Amino acid sequence: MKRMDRKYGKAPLHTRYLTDRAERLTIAELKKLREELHVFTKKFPQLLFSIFITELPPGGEVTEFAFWLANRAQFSPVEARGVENFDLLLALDPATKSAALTVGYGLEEILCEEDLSGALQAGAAAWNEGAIAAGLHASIDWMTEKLRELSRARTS
Amino acid sequence: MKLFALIVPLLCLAASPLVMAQSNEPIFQPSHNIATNTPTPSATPTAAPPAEPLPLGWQIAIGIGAVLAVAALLYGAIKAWRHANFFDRQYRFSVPPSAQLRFGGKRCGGKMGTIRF
Repeated sequence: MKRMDRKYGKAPLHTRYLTDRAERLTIAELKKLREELHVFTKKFPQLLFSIFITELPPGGEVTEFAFWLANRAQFSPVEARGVENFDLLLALDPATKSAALTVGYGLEEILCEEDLSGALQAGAAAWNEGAIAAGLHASIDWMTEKLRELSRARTS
Repeated sequence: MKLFALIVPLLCLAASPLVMAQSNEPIFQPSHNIATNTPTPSATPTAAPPAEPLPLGWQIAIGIGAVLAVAALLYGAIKAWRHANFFDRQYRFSVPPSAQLRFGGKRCGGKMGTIRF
């Protein structure tokens, strides 16, 4: 973590649901995505799905950045550590065309890496065409459906 | 037959007030003179000019405006409905008993999916 702190510096300014430091989204798209992420939190009250769009510094890796940001930036208004943390963070770098989706310790038993990759795959086609917002909507929808399915399977 | 016997007298009773009220004389006579209409000078009534129908362009514009207003209302209602998440249930997960903290991460241990597109 200390090595990454030296590499990425202080935790960047961010908002709870969606931060677009690469400025790839319009105001309307930002608003719509924030609404969708808000609805996600209503469906899954424990969970917080945050999205961070940025252009990484030279030598930056999206996986490393996502891990560092998830630990250094507090997206949830309540400080949740260890197994109490049910956050999802999607970091996307449109410049290097890479994205990573990471989860807090609380979700590790629920979501496997294939599920996380599946959510990213759902948005990949749109992202490849430059439609960042459409890809994010697809990813959120995919993850919503997957979590519903997993929750039903656990309760039944 | 019993039903018939019940219905016929009922019909007769129902019709009897009508029969009794067939007199030409009004029951209550007014005790004062009824004012007759005051003769008015024979002025020729001026008929209002017939209202001209709205031009077709206006009718179409009003129609489109109404459709747009309804669409906007519907859009707002759907948005509010979706936002409120009225009938969709809430999903919760049980908190795992423990987790091994990794790579110095206190919130996230680095479990992730990644993609290059």
